[in-house]
Amino acid sequence: MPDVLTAYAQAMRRRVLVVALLSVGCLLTFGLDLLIGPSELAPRLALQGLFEPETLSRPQAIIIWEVRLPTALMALLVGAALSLAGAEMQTILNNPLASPFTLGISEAASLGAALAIMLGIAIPGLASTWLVPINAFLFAFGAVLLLQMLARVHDASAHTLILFGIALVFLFDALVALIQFVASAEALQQFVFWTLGNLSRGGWDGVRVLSPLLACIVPFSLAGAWQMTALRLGEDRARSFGVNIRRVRFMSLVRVSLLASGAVAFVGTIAFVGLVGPHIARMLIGEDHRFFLPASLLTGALVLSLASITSKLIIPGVLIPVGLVTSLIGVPVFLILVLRKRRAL
Amino acid sequence: MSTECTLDAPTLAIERLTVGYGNTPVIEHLTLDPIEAGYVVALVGPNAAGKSTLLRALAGLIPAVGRVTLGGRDLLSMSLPERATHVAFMPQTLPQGVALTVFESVLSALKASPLHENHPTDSRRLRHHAVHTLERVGIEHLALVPLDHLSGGQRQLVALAQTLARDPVLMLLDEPTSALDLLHQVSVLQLVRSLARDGRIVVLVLHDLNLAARWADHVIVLHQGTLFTAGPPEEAITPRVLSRVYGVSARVERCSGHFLQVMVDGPLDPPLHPSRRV
Ligand SMILES: Nc1ncnc2c1ncn2[C@@H]1O[C@H](COP(=O)(O)OP(=O)(O)OP(=O)(O)O)[C@@H](O)[C@H]1O
Ligand SMILES: [Mg+2]
Repeated sequence: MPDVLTAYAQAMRRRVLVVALLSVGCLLTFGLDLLIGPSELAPRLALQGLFEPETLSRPQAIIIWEVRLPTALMALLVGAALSLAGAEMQTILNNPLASPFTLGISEAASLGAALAIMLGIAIPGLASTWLVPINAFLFAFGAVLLLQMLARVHDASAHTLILFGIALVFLFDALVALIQFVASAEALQQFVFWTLGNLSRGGWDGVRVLSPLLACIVPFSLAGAWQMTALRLGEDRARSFGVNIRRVRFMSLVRVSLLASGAVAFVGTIAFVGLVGPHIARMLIGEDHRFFLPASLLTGALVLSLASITSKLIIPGVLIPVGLVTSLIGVPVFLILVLRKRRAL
Repeated sequence: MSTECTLDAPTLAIERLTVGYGNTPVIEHLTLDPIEAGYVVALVGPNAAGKSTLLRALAGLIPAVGRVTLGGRDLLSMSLPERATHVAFMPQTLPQGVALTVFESVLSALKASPLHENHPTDSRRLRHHAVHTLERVGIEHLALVPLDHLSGGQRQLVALAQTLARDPVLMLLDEPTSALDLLHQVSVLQLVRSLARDGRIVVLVLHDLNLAARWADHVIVLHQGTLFTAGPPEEAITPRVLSRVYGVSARVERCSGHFLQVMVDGPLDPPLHPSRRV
């Protein structure tokens, strides 16, 4: 008896350590992200400027405080939000290929943005800088509510959700294409730029919205950790343990939609983080959701922060949209990870 | 506190139970003699007879109409968490591709919803209880093995431990021994019997009629969603039942150990249900 408990305690300590290391990793990449950039500002100067702002010239101060800092923070926040959302989505849909965008959330956000950018249709009474993000958010959130309603009419199973979700993806894509068809060339270009995930777009506004959003949602995610873990053992089993799966699923979908639509609204679609973050976390730590959820959050933050750094390094002096980097670099790296893991077994 | 008293030595009563999927009923108006605590009940019958469906309905996993009471309390109208304090169900299968260890899976069974009152709630005692459960099933050496690295029989033992962990008065086990070797079959059935003797009701689906005859106090034979017969093994397992329900010609004899032994000679000739499909 003590053997098992000792070994278990040891496994727990190892997990806490992994989570701690991931946090440290996030801090390091965050620092690096601040020091590197396309503009002429030596990393040494940037470092000095962070601690002694008065040594910087006015343009240098703007680069650090108005561009790099919010962008680096957004990388962490968006990565964390998407990866946590992805982890929850994979569990409630019982599908390791699910991501926050599986059920049409990003397409709905695109539709909202397209309406705002190309047709100027939005909720009346909004300041124009907020028009696109809020429209994107409302559409994304609305899509999830619609999905829930549709699924509830049937049996609200994971299967039904996926089917209806995919139907919504096609519907929203078609509507966006229709809008693109009638839009002016200028608006079209602006929209295409919007769809490329870009971390610097959000700025401090994005940080101000996303950080409290994340701070509010994470406790609720963690509170449901045991029920989510039980859900991994199969629906029948979880229910016979007394877990109200419909409720767990609905509450989780609400969290996912808030996180994903919040992220999409400010930075556009950043694929892949929400898929790969949970996968890496699962390899590192397993699926005890008390650790799996925070580890997913941190892995996502780390991955997107690294992607943000990479996006500045690929072509010196040019900032490539980070959404492209996550896909172009992330996909091969991820495949290598998965294949190595396979061989190890 | 009369309800508590009755749940200490409960009776399971099933009256006019109708269960199905969608609009097609699988079980219609099933009424069974009340089942007392302390007994092991074997549910037997051919494939698709409705055995799993009955267990899932009792566990509240699929909607059912009728009257099911446990210790006088209506089971069908209980909320899922409340029912989970009295009833535990062991499904036929354990999912693949789950990155959890055996110990974590048992802990999650304990933590997923509140247990009944006389159960420890603090984490340290729950962990001890989880280890104790693994020991009862004889798999404490597997505690930290990932579920995906287990053999078929080991998975079945883990599934049993998950069900046992919640310490329910009504245990519903769907083919708990189908993947087990001879020794493990015996030790699981011994465990099942001691669980029953401690004042629980254990209903288990068994395909091996010899095991049912040897270990069950009461055998219920289900056939096409209806009760064919029920009673002590020697009354419920007879050549007539075997030919009518399973469509085989078989002998039932008492072997030297005094237990019933079923020997199947072959399919009935001519077949009883020529068009029966599983
Ligand atoms: N999810 C489901 N949806 C629709 N029909 C189902 C479902 N599960 C089972 N059935 C049907 O209900 C009937 C009874 O199935 P059940 O699983 O209860 O059989 P069983 O007695 O447990 O058989 P086995 O010995 O093969 O496990 C079968 O005809 C089956 O086709
Ligand atoms: Mg069955």
